[in-house]
Amino acid sequence: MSALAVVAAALQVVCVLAGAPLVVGGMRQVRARLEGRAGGGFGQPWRDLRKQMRKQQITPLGTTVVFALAPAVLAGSTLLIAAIVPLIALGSPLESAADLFGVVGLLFLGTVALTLAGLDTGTAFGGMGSSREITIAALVEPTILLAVFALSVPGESANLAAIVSATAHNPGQLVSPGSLLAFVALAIVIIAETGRLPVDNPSTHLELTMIHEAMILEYAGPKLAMVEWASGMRLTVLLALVANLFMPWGIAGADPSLLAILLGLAAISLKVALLAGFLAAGEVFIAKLRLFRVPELLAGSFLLALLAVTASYFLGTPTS
Amino acid sequence: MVAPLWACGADALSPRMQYTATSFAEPLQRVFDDILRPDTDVEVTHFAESQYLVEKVTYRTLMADPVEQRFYTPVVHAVTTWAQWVRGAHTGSVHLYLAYGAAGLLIVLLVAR
Repeated sequence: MSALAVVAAALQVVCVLAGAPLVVGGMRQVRARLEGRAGGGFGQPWRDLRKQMRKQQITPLGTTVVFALAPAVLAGSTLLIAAIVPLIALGSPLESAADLFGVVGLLFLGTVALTLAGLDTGTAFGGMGSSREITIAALVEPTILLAVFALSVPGESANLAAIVSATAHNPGQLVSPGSLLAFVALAIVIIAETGRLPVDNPSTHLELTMIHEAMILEYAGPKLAMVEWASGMRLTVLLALVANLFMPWGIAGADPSLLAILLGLAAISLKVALLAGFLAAGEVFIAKLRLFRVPELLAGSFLLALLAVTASYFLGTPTS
Repeated sequence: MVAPLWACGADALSPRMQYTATSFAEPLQRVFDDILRPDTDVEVTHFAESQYLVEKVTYRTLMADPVEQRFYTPVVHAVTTWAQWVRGAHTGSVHLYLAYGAAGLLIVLLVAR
């Protein structure tokens, strides 16, 4: 492990921190333009965050430490994911911890922290949001684990760097049925997990239709800024992770040079921008699903993940 | 600064408006309706004047654990029946135990012959 690998890992965290609001802003801008509006511009989420950060800290009546700590847990777990997954370079110093199952666990740590915060407020909306979020999370988790399992079959490892480098060395396996099915399953799951359309509408203002927003209804000022920032980072990290799992080109190797790191940064920025653009453009054409139709969508993605596992076992190309 | 909770403009939230464990799990229970088979009764009492005016709504839901009912209970029942039968074989009579020993020895001798 070289010093530059450490630099690359640190750069990943900084770029996710700085880039997440831009990704969210970009998605809103794409959507606004496609709907014929002017939009607030790419920098609007950053301006919102600055405004929120300067506001007064407010503690809702009757909330406890669970409520106060949840934004920090969410942001911390997301930053940890950003530090360990291979986004810019493969040889991160925390690489041995970058197990896909571990990443899924960290993801759910943040979800559960917010869910408990929603319950902690004691309001009907908080409980409603938490209940819905945990229902979706409970349905999403088996799908993620199965899709991950399907992806780890060709590389014979659940370590992210191993999967990415196996795919980079053998791009042919990307068009295998197992890989394609796992991609679709993971895409649906990530849409559900980050609360995008058609599972949840991130821009809704009606409490009864909210999922994610209902849980964080009581947050204001700096804490709200932290939750929104963390949600943006989650979206960014997951998009980047999918980009690298299925399009591993441009990522710097285990012992990178400075040029390779810069190239890796440019590649991942481009990939995330492309995926976010597609996601935002797709959202223009769909409406939110009814809450009790969502399980059907998730059951479909679970089925795809199951087929992906089966396909990668029986149709997998021998990799030795 | 401490501020009151958001109650959609209507103040005086009470603990009765909170989410309970049952309501928290309701969406997931609804997803797995076919397996869990909850027994739900909703009784709506109308006013005598019009059936569009509701006087009282009674909601009662009962959920039996299907794993307990269809798996544990039969297994436990079978084990208990067998245990009762075995119990009848050792009632504390020394004569009976001596007879078992003699019969066992006889069987071993016959098999080993």
